[in-house]
Formats: sequence, C-alpha cells, structure tokens
Amino acid sequence: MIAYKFLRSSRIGPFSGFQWPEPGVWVRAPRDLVACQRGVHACRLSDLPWWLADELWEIELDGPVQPDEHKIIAPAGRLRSQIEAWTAECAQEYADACARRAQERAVQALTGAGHPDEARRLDACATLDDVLVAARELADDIPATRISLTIAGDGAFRALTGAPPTSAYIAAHAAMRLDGAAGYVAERTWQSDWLVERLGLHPGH
Amino acid sequence: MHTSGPPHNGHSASELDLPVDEVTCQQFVELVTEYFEGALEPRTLSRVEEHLVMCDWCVTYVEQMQATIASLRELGEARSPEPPDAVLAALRARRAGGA
Repeated sequence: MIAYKFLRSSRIGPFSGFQWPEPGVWVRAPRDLVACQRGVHACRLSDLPWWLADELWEIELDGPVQPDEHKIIAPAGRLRSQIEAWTAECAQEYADACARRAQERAVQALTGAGHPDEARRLDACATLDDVLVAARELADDIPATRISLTIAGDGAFRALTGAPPTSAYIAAHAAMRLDGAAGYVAERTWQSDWLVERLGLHPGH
Repeated sequence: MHTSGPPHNGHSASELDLPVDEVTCQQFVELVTEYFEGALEPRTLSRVEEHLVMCDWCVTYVEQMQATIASLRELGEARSPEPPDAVLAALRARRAGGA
C-alpha cells in the first residue's frame, strides 16, 4: 500500500527520533504492532493535516495495515520519494489559507449576529496583519462574536509567526464554533483536500 | 461526533465542552510524567502527539523537561554528605528526650 509520512529534516521521525534510511530500504517492526509505540506509522490523505512536519514522503507499506483514527500502522515500510512540492513556502501558503478560512468564519459570525458593517470591514482585510488588527479590535467591541473574532485573530497571528499546524488547528476550531463537530470535520477535510491538490498527491493503492 | 470513550486517565475534551476528542495544554501538562515514562495508553498517546504537532509552547515545555531530566540524571550517583556529628548528637538527644 502507498501512503504518506511526515518527517523532520533529514528523515527523522518526529516522535520516535528514528532516523529513516535511504529511500528503498525496508524498516520492519520487531514485534506486534502497537499504535503510537511500535510499527511503521503513516498517513492516508485524510490524516495529513494532523501530522505536518518539515518533510513529506511517499511511503510503501507492507503487511496487514492497521487503521487508526488519524493514522495507519503497518509492520514494515520503506520510503519511496520525497514530495518536493512540500516546502517551507508551501507550508506558509497553507498556513495563510487556513488563517483566511478562520477569517471567513468570523465574518460569518458577525453577519449572523447582525453586524454587517463590521463583517465587511473584516472581510475587506487585504493582509493577515490587517486581519489580526481588525479581529482584535472588533473582539473588544462586539461581545456576541468575541470568541470567533479572537479565534480569527489567533489564526492570523499563528500564520504570521510561521506555525502552519497551529493555524490549521485554529481554522478547524473556528469552523467548530459555528457548525459544531461536523464543521470541525469538514474543515479538516478541506485542509486535506488543499494539501492533496497543491501537492499533487494520490490516494493510497 | 466521536462516540469513543475518554482516555483511560479520565481526561477528555468533554470536560471543556469540546465536541472533538483533543488534549488541551493543561491536560498535557498533567500527562507529561506518564508521557515521559511511556505509560500512556495508545489512544491518549496519539492525542498527546497530535497536540505536540500543533502546539509549539508544549514542545518547548517538553524540551525544558528533557533538559531538566538530563541534568538530574548527571547528579544521580552523587551521594549526600554525612551530617555533622553535632547534628547527629542533637537528633539522638531529642529522640531520647521523647520530644
């Protein structure tokens, strides 16, 4: 099965600290699989937003693949090729896109709460710096939408400070604020779709 | 909506009225000892790792804890000095006096 795996720079496992060998070299779990502890962990396309890191690799898995909520685990795997399109610049684009999504949710919240002028002001922000300032000012002025506006401001701030996973997390919570758990799931799906399209990824096979 | 139960330690996002099952920063701090000891059950560990991907503040906390543990380990074999005779004598006298 083909899946994907995020690693730190130089092919280091983010949590295990494991140094992955050169592409093509098989890595095998010594004993039975245990999620998060033993086995080769990888992402389906829908899992990608949860595990962002410096490098993204296509990985081939071997043996029975065990599905988990936001990951899959296999007894063996080998890196195939690095996804070259996943760069620091691309990660920043993703962070910006997520921050814009949180901004849209705050605009929605303002509109729904009967503040069309303020909604237009936030919607018209040309840069994330503008979003940050407007969201924070409006949050102070309009208690009914304070949380959505604060979330939008935080999303912009974290994108501006180079934290793509946090920006994505915040966008998911912005959606959840308005649409509940279904909104959260839909936002994570949007994020996964963004990555798939931008990086030209393909479903595992 | 997730239908699965809370992590084994009883912490769950429901405590914060979150409709998704997540570890918060506060919960992570409470779990950090078990995290370092490898004592978290897989579901909770997965939640903790998801949190660490997106929370650089907690990553910094982990790094500080790791540095502290490493420093303490270096001190591990050092023996405490014997208390001075005067202190021992005072303690014996106090015990003998029943105070």
